Amino acid sequence: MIIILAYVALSAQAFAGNRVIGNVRIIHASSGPTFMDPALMDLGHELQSVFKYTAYRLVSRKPLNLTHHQVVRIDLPGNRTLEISPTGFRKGRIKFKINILKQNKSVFTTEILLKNGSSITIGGPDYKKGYLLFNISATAS
Amino acid sequence: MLSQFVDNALPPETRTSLERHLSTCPACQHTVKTYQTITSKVTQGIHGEASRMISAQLEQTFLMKIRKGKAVKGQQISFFHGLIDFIKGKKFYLQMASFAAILLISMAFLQDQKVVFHSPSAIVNSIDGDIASVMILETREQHHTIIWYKES
Repeated sequence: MIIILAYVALSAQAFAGNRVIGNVRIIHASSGPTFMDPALMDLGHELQSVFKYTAYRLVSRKPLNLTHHQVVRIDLPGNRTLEISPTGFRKGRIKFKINILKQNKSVFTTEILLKNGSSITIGGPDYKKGYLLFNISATAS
Repeated sequence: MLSQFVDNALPPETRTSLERHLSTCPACQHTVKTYQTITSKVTQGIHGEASRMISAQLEQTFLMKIRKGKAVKGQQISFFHGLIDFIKGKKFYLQMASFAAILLISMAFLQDQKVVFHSPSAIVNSIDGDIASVMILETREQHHTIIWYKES
């Protein structure tokens, strides 16, 4: 019983700060000459294992430093916007609400449970003879 | 008669005359030695078995008497002492030691195998929007979650 209570207390304390730190990497994937951006070395192999694209370039990187329910808006190429908001914590995962807008109109909305200290990649929008991917990583502190 | 001689069951006069005969008869001497060896081994076996049985019986009897004694005096036997009695009575140590050994060996084996239960980097609760199609992928090595959608 003591162990269970201690575990619950420590789990609650782990997210007591309610601050989420991370970053968003905006990536352009295309079928051009083979290229892997050095800034994507940690992710490149994973993307190559599921996609046929030969070139991966980092377009930009945006840091995240959010409090609980704070919404951050990040401008994306192609008149798009990415909205991210941490909405809770559950079982060692950070709950996120993610919204992608095109010309101020919501086109894609998802709710995910991201493993603390891990990342997710969302992709698909067409851009310059290729596709855009958004890699969102976050850690609760 | 020789077996009775070995068992000390002969009358003194008969025993004396037989001893006289034995001193000059190698065949009878050999038979007597064989009888004595058999008798000695049987006696040793019986003593060993009896002492083992007595030890276990004594332990049980002793524990029962303690319990009865406490009950007569009106003392309540605690759960802990009851458990200890049970463990001692049922020879629980051997079973526990075997179980612990199996557990340790299994843990060592699993550690060598590096069995790790992976989970995806992200669990997708819901997806919505003005989209033509969507795929949720998980990479094989790092279990990285990827959502791929096509705008409509």
